[in-house]
Amino acid sequence: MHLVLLEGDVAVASYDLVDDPFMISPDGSGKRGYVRVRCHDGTQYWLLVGRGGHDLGRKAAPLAIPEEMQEKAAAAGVPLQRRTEVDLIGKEVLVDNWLTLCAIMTRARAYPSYKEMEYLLAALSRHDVLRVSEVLLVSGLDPAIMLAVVAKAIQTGRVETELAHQLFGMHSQLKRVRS
Amino acid sequence: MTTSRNRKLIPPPFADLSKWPAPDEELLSKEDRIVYVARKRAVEMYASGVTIEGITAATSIIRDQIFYFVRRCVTGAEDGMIAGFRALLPWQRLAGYQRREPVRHVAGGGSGGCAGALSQLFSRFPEVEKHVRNRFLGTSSAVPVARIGYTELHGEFLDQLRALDFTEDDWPFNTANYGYKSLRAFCIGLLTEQPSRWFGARAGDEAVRRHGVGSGYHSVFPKLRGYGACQLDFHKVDAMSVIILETEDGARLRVPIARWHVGFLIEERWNLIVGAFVVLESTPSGDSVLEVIEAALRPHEAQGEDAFCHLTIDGKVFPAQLMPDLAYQGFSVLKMDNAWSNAATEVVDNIIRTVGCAVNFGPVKAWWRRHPIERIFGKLSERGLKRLPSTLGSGPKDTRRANPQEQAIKFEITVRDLIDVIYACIREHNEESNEGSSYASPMGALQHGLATAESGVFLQPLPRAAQQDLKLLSHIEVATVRGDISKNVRPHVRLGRWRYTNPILANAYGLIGRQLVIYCDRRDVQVAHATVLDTGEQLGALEAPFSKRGQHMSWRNRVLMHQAGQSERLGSNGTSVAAQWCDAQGEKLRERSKLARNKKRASKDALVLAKVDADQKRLEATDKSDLPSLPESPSIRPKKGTFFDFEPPMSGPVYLGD
Repeated sequence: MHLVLLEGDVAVASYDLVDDPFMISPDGSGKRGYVRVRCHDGTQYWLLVGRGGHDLGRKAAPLAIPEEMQEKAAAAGVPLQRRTEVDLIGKEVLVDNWLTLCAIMTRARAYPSYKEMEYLLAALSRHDVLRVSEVLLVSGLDPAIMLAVVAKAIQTGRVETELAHQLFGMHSQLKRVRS
Repeated sequence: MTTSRNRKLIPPPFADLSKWPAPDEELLSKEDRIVYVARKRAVEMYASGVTIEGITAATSIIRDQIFYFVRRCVTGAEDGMIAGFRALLPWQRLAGYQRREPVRHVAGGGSGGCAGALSQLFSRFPEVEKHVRNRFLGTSSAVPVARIGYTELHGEFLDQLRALDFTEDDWPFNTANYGYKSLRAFCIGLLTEQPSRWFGARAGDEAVRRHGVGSGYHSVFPKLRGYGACQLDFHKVDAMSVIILETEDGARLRVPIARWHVGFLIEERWNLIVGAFVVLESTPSGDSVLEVIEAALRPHEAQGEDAFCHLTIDGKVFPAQLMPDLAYQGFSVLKMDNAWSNAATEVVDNIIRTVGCAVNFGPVKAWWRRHPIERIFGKLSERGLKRLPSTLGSGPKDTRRANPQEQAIKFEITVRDLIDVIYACIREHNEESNEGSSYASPMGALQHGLATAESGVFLQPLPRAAQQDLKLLSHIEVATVRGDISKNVRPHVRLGRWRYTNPILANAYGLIGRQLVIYCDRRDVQVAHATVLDTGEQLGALEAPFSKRGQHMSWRNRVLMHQAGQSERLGSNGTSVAAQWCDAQGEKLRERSKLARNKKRASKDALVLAKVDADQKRLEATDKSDLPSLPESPSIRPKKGTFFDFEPPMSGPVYLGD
């Protein structure tokens, strides 16, 4: 889920998994993997993903960052952040929206999208705000690819829409981001 | 309310008093409430920076007590949080009771005066506590005793104390129950301390797995919109049935099947069944998973007879059939149980590539994660399948079981019949109101969701190119090129007992012995494309054998047909005509030799008989060399008649393996 939110972070350029960040051993032993996140501004940080806050049936035990990981991050000169399920509380709508947008993009990945992209850019140049339903009404364009183009535009920050408190859908308003 | 800067007794993480745990003041007695409210006010005033003198003047609580109460409030409680305002309740104990005084108890003196005795004993003799813990929780290094009872554990406990020279004057020997109640309470208390270990030792693996159910913590997987997440799982159908397979040449093959499976794809938000597929295999495979998903995607017309139900008014079953706009509707998450072969990489990749969804594998045997599917399975079984005359019931002793195989063949209860029942139940489920959807039916809820923009439900089909060329059921096989240069047997590959080739492959003698990657369409055995494995050279579309062209069936049905056909052929096997003739002639010779008059003729007949016998043996030797995979030869049924009534030879080439 944390990686799903990374997909929706405009500042993030890419990320990759080092070792296995999601291998959770009950006693915390074993090699800890992490997620290496690279940002558009050239910076990077590491994410340590695990369970914390409340382990089922046990008393609250915050996820401790192993010392070796801290030393490793310090040696690499990158900040190390931890993420647990507690960090997802209150972000359910955002997670659901990005799961949907990622699925929309993935299923259209292998198909050309230049016509749909041209149309969207032209429409945004004429209107500051557009509803999703309006860009899908055009005949001759593939609605699946059109949706994927919209999702990509949101992901890259060209367009913004309310995703934190409202489910993405036909009613969502797309606002052009002027850089 | 937050603390002001100079109140150091309250650490910054707990500075927001509104988040402190607090008791329900309405439940306190009048006297306790008065005390509590004053203390609470004092702590709040301290946090807000009021002077100590001001607090004392307002609450009548002196300085030392103010600091004492504040420290108690930020102390950790047993539930892992800070005590908060709970610590201000009169007589509230924050830590467990710890006895300090030695136990002084006289036998027969009642149960008083022994509070904390067991804890005190354990603190003096930690090895005794360790023994009790390990024996009760089943982690002893000695030979384990499954679920030791409390009485037996108590006996061991007393033995340990006797070994430590405890006498009748020492607790627990000077009590009526010898500490049994305390020991039992201690063991039950271990549940709070180590619940997973406790359930594993005392209630079994199933109870451990169930520990996450109803924990009060909601899933990180949001279920906020329809067609967001779907669950896929298979259910074993306990109804014996008979497949009637009709071949292109008119043969009807009967295949009894004891049990089979049906896979469901269920949308999670409304428990709407969006796809289903019958799996005629002992264990569902990756192909089965893809069939289920494709059943949910393809519109009614594209599925033909497979998705038609004879028990519904219009023959339609699934949402994509009832609402054509939903054809090829995608979803964002697919949840599957990884106990099956669902985890095959090729299958998962195919699903992700086609549908675009994320795939979530749940733990094995975690039925509660799949509760929508389990609930629907239960309903379908009760309403449809267990009531049919061919049911196997729930086991051999189920009274509903009444010679199911005979019933199945007698009534010819075909898989088609059972599929119709399942599909009719699916349609009924999808159109029945239920409490989970606020008394709307799943289909009704879907239609409402599509009509309501804020619901987040919208049409998100697959790209048109993907719809036209749905590769979900494409299957990859690696086959070795066969052939023989010495005998000029042209290069070909054998797939499903058929010989496939094309002009390119048939002339590529250099490929004999090398491997090809074959891309097949699971739904049609006529569709196969080949590529050379190590070079990537494309060989194009392969052609099925000449005699089989025009036969369109799925790969699975072809396997079933071969199995059933060979089984039936072996079942109808008998003595060959030639052997029967030999037997008859041999009988005649024996009769003649008794008369001892025609020795010359007998010798001549014996030579003819021997020659026929030798020919027959040669033929039988050729047949046996192809076992266990019997060649698919034109059927020559054993005939009752004269030896010379053979059928004329077949016209057209006969390929090896046909």
